[in-house]
Amino acid sequence: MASDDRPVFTEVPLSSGDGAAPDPPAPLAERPGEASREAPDAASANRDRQPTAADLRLLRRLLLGRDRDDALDRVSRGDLPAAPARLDARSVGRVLPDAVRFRESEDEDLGEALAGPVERGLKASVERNPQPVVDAIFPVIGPAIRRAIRHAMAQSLESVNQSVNYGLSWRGLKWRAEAWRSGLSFGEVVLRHTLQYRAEEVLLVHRETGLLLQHVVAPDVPGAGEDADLVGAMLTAVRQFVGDSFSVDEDDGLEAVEVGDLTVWIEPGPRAIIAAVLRGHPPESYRETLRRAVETIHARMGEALTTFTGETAPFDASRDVLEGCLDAAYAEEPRSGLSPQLAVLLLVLLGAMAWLGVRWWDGHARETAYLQALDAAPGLEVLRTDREGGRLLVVGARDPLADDPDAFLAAAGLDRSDVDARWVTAFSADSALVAQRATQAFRPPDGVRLAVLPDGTIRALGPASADTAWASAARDLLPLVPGADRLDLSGLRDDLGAAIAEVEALALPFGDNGSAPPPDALAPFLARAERLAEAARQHGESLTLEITGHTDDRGTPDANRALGLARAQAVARAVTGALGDRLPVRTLSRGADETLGEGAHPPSRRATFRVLRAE
Amino acid sequence: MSETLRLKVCLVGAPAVGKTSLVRRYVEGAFSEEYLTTIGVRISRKRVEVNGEPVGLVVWDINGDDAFAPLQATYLRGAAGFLLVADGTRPVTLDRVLALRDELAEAFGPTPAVLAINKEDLVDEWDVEDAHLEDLRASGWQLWRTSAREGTAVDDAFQALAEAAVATARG
Repeated sequence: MASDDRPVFTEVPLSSGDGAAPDPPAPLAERPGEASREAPDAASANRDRQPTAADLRLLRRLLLGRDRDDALDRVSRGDLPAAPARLDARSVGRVLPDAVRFRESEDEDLGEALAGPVERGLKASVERNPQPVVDAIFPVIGPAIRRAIRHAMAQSLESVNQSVNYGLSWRGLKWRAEAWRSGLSFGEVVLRHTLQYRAEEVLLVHRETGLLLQHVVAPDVPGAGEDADLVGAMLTAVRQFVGDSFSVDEDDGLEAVEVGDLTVWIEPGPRAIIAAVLRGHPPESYRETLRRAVETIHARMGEALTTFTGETAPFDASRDVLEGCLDAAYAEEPRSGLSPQLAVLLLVLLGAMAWLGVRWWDGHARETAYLQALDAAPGLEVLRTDREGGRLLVVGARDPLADDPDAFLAAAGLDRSDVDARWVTAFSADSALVAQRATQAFRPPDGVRLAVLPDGTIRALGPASADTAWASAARDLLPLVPGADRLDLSGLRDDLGAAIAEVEALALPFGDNGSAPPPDALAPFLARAERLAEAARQHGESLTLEITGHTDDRGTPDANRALGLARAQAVARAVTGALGDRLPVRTLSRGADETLGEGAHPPSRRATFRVLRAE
Repeated sequence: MSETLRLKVCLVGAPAVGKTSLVRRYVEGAFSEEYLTTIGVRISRKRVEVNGEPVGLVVWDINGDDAFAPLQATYLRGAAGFLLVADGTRPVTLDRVLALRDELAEAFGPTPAVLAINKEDLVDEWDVEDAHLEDLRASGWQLWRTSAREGTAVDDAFQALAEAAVATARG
């Protein structure tokens, strides 16, 4: 609307004299009567004359001048300005909402005009009290933050899942070995085996200049994005090169570029292209994703693309669209839980470990038993144990009189190949061995026993009546016997009961019809009688030796009784002759009353003995 | 990559005037020069500061005899500035590049341009009269006597181009 149009129309309602009607005046053509009333002075001479059509045309021309046609046009469209007769706040307020809507539908000037005041108003409001603004934007920001957190959590969970799943599976172990061999990281190897495709980087490039407008990079892509601006320009140059070289429209030109493991898919739009850097083999449907992204970006920021002169900040708003293209698909989903192969492997390992454990424990138990037996054996002293070449090494001291250490192996379930035993000879102070050693050296007579006291005293125990010649020799040998320091003979005592039994057990044989005892039989008997007398003396007992004479059954009973008595008396004389009164005797005869054996004339010629104790 | 203003600038000039050497002196990241012979353009990048603001310059070094061969013209599209390069030992290259300037303005509209007269180090062979250069300056040219070999004024020429391009881009 030209500004010089306005005075023409604003004067119309003012001159009407009917006040400040806010409504636009009705079209002039419909109010001929008013026109005549509005000029009472000028037309006084023609008061009675009705104005002709020519008059009206003239009037209109006078009033509206050269803008008449334009004005008529506006009137016919109802496009008349509101009368600003009273521009009070109330009337402005009444029309303001409609005015804003009206202007917004016309162009974008209102938005631009309001941008500054709204910004400043918001800033002032936040400075004064941020709470209302916080309350207002919270419903928007809250979900956005939650979505970002969920996204980040999901990604980290996914990566932990993969590590755990592939880390503990049979295949995971294989891939670990592969990673170790190839020098790649485990993650890269997993990706190579499981990834169908992944968009690692998406670039939004201005089509004409090749300048990078925006780009996004997938997480964990090493080294991506560093040269995105160069890549964007180079892709543009290559597209232009291909387009010109093959004389095709750029839109029909380069759609994909293969670079080593990577593929770059290019999706052109009228003003910008999207280039997606892909690993693996994306499905054709991914092309559709790119196409939609290009369309969305052109729809959203077509103006910024058209007027682009290098300022990239407006394209920050395209990030979410580009991030939507950071797609990935895995050829297989990671399975959870243990794989069967790994379970078997673990079982085998467990079994092997159990078997080794049992074997070790069993071997350990056998060796312990062997060592305990050695420790318990007199004359064997284990000084040190160790393991050498899988065998048990035993170093110890061995008394020559000790049992053979190898004898303990079998009892413990071991054999010579299990144990390397090294013994040095040493004399044991063990009392049993000292006693054994002393017995070997001193050779005491039968019935004498040697006991070893803790202080090294060798104590001889037994009948004192025995031969004591050994004792003097023992005293000479004493210093030569390790562990024997003194000899104590006070324990040699004759045992009275034994001496009595020894005598009573004897039957002294006689020859045919003779009453004299045979000397070769008499001497041992007298030795026993001597021991008996000594024992009686030691025990302070007074004993009587009863000697009974016997004959065989030949001859008369009286003769036999007399012969028996003679034989008893002969023995009594020999005893008295040898022992004097140390052993009193009495004699009896049983004749042939107690023959020995059956049949005719059994050989019963003998003397028997009984020891009588004084009451 | 943090700069929000990115500009495309193109180097044009006759063959063997030292365009590629100038770029090599100047830039920090670039594609292999093999591309120059393969597809006729080599792209590199340099970050500069104009009025304290970081600006990303993407430098297109265009190969070929004639910037208006169809292919080269394609590469020139959207440039925010031209660095016109001539060889100070061959005055004909200066004439050529001055003529190019008019052709560029006709094809792409008014676009900032800076003139680099290269090989300043070859003093004995220098064949462009100072008076001629003064005339050019007087007629509004921003021009620099550069030496790609010794680095003389290379940064200055690019900086002047960046500043002119930013001024135009910002309107």
